[in-house]
Amino acid sequence: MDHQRSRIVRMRNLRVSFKTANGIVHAVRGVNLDVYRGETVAIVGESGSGKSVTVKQIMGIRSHNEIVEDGTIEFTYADKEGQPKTVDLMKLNDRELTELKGSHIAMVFQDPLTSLDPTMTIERQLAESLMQHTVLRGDALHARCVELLDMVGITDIEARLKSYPHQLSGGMRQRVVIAIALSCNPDLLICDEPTTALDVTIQARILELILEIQKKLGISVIFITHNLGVVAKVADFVNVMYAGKIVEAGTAEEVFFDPRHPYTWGLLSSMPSVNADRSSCLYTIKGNPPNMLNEITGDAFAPRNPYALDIDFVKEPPAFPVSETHWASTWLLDPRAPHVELPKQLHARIEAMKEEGEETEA
Amino acid sequence: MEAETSAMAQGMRQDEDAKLFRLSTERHEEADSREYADYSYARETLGRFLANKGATIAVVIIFAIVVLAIVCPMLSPYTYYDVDSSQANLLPRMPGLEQLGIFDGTRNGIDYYAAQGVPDAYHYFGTDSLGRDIWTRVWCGTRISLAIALVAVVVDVVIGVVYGLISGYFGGKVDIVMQRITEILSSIPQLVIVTLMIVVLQPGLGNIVIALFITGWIDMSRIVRAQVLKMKNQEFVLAARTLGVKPKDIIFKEILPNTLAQIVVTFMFSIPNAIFLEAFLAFVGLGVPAPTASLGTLINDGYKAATIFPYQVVAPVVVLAVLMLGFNLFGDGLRDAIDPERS
Amino acid sequence: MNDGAEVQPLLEVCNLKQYFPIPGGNIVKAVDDISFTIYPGETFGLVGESGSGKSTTGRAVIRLDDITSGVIRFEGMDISGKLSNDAERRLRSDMSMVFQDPMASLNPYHKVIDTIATGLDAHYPHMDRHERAEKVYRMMDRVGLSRSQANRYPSQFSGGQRQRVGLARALIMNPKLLIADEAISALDVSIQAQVVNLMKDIQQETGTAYLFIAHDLSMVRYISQHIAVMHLGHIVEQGATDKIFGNPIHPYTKSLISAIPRLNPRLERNRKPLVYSREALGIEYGQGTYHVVEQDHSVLATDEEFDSWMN
Repeated sequence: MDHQRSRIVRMRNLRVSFKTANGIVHAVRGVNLDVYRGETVAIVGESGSGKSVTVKQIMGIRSHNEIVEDGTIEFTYADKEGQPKTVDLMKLNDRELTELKGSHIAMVFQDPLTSLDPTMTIERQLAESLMQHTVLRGDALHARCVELLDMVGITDIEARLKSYPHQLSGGMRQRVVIAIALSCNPDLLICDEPTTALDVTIQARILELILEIQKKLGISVIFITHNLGVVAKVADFVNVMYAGKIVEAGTAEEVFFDPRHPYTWGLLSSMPSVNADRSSCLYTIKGNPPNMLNEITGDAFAPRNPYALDIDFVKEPPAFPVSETHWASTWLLDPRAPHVELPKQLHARIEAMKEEGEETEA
Repeated sequence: MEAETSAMAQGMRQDEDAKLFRLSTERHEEADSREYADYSYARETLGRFLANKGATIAVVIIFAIVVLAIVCPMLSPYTYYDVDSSQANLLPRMPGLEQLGIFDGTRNGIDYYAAQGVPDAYHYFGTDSLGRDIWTRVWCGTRISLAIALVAVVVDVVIGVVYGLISGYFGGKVDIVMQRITEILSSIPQLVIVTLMIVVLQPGLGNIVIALFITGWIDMSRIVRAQVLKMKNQEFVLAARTLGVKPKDIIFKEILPNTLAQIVVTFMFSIPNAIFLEAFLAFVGLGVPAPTASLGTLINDGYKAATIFPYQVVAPVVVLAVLMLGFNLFGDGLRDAIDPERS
Repeated sequence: MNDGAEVQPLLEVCNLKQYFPIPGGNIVKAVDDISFTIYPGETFGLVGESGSGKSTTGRAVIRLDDITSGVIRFEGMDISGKLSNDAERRLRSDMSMVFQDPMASLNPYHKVIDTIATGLDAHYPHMDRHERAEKVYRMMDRVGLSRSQANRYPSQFSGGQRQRVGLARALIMNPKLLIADEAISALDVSIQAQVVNLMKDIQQETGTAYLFIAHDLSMVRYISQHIAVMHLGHIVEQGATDKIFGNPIHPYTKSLISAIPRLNPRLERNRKPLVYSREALGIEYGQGTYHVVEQDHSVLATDEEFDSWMN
């Protein structure tokens, strides 16, 4: 880890609820998140974990029945004069937020088909974004469009610029969406499950692309996904979310090789690995995620947690530090807790992973 | 972040009972009985509908009009057909309100009731040129208009739904032939067909109903067919096919319930259309024969004297307008309640 | 797999072609001459990306669509052409399907008990109500659903639970072959694991064979004994799972396996997946034939391609 890390996003105590016909759903229950310049932060969670809702707050995207109960999101960027400026995104009005979006923060969504306007050519859509945030026009504008499509690895650029979204494949569309997002050199790129709708071979290429771009431009990326394999590929930092809270966070190394929260253990174990022993039984986490309509007492994961302590049903665990960068919200880390071993299968898998890692290093 | 977490953990340390730090042995029954209150589609839809003030008021008004249409003629001392030339063209006169100076049967100081020798008569909406009580005729007319509309629409629905279901589900040649037929029929304006039918069949209550449903079913069949085409490839329909469910059962048990919402809404909107068509027929002289009254014939009679005796046309027009507006709002509200995501 | 005793194949697909005309006069060759065999009680994985023709194959096998050409034999019976009443009845009770979308695969207006009993109602319309309910309850127990939820509607269940309902519906007639068409793709990872384990258990108990259609290679590897890899309507490689993963020959298979993200951040950051371009390699699937790589492992290739890949 670089000591020159400068933080660009500081989210504290985010609490968001939804008003539904059946009652109030507490979707996000106190999330703290940090993003540093030039790094990729992954948020991993299953449906209902609240990961999308959390990140949409950064862009100010809210549904009509959404209630923001608490939270600050401090965003640090260089203003027009190059001076560092920090604002609380939650307190900005629409106009101020719109100025930041596109030029400093950009987002890529899951479905490239609905992210693009079907009635406009690719060039027009790229140009639209550029005209809004820059003074480029005419030939300079066209040149920039070409440059952007080149950066995202699209070939046959002139033809593609004149095409409509439906004429492109899913993978290419997503590249275009990424190009639009990057068009104004944002400091932060938010990707909400950008490869989930794509074939696995295309997914691999898009992930490569995001990694490349990040290295080249030095931007920060927030990556939301439910696929741990994707996380392993792109993330510097991993946040594991469950039932509206982050239950474990750390560097990718730490979370994959030294996971501390039983939910993380469960997640890691339920993914079949291409290399793992086929005859072994796939470990599963029993039961279903909790109904977020109800107030949750204690640890939300407790009912499904085979390693739950009595106190998990009474009081919510605070964040226990494991290292400078790694922490987990589980009572198992409290010194008073009994010693619990990693599930054997997961332990074996991690040992195998360590050996693999060494082989390539060597 | 790091400093914050250890501080948090420190602070917490004092409070808990050390005994709680044991592996939980109780198998806490997984709250998988997801506390969904016993949820019913009907109840939720009703809730959404009632939240729509316009629609709810519309329902109340329609209900009120129906009640008035049934009750008022029964309570009225007058009939809709009695002719009494001595009471011709009397202005509206209502007990109670006449003390306030309105609806007192006078105009420009002249008391028409006294002038025509019937000082004790009360005609709430006045009388027409033949001395018939307009209040009674309006409510009788409303009965007729509503009856015509309802019968026509019900037949529409039955024909349209079945036609659309068959055409949509079986597709192929069946669909092509059936759709060509509807295309030909719908290329002729409904008004023209209806008018021609009446001219051929001669005006009469039954014939008007026939004329109305001859073409009214086309819209319904198109909507149902569109729904069926959408549903045909849904996985639950495919699943039913793979399990050997017969086509008849697939159409009526799997697909129909999913199209019911659309059917009801279309039905709701067809009613004002039918009411209006009937009124139009009456207006061009092809309505129910006298002395039977419908809102349309009343308007037709009343408009001839509209400049001198405007009250004769106002009452039926207002009732007609309120009815149509009411059904439209009702239909809108129903559609929004059934399919909220559309907005 | 097939040792000494002659085990009759449960499903034989021979030279199946599914061509669909599209407006404009063109033809989409969704499935272009594929053949494979499934034996009783085993799981056969059909893998491919979008446009590979795997779902179309599944639908053709269960005769949701008519067959353009080729032969499909199920339990020795030819089910390729117009089906006799008897054949239709046997097909509809001995073969069933589980679909991908947990939301769309259940009729929102039917209670779960009625949905699960769909097959029973179609084949035994006069079954006693109590017997019907009992059968449904037993099935619900088997798939891990609580009996108290039998009178609920699909909207009151989670995605994973809905898939279990779909599974119960498919299994209630005790089929010999169950086609799972991307049945777990729309579920969360931990729920996928639950459903897959459930399917494995049921197979142990009842000996039902599965045709497991999916794009997630790692899950397919976990559940299948045999795999066929499809691309653009052709099977490019098929055989025993271990052999395909241990020794992939076709460059497409290799790229597919390579594209799967590994769970190891140290490895994954720098690993570049293999890229496959059919045109660049000059491969025309139509020109290839099946070459045997080893027992229970074959690959589609021209003679030259085969020679170059094997060395």
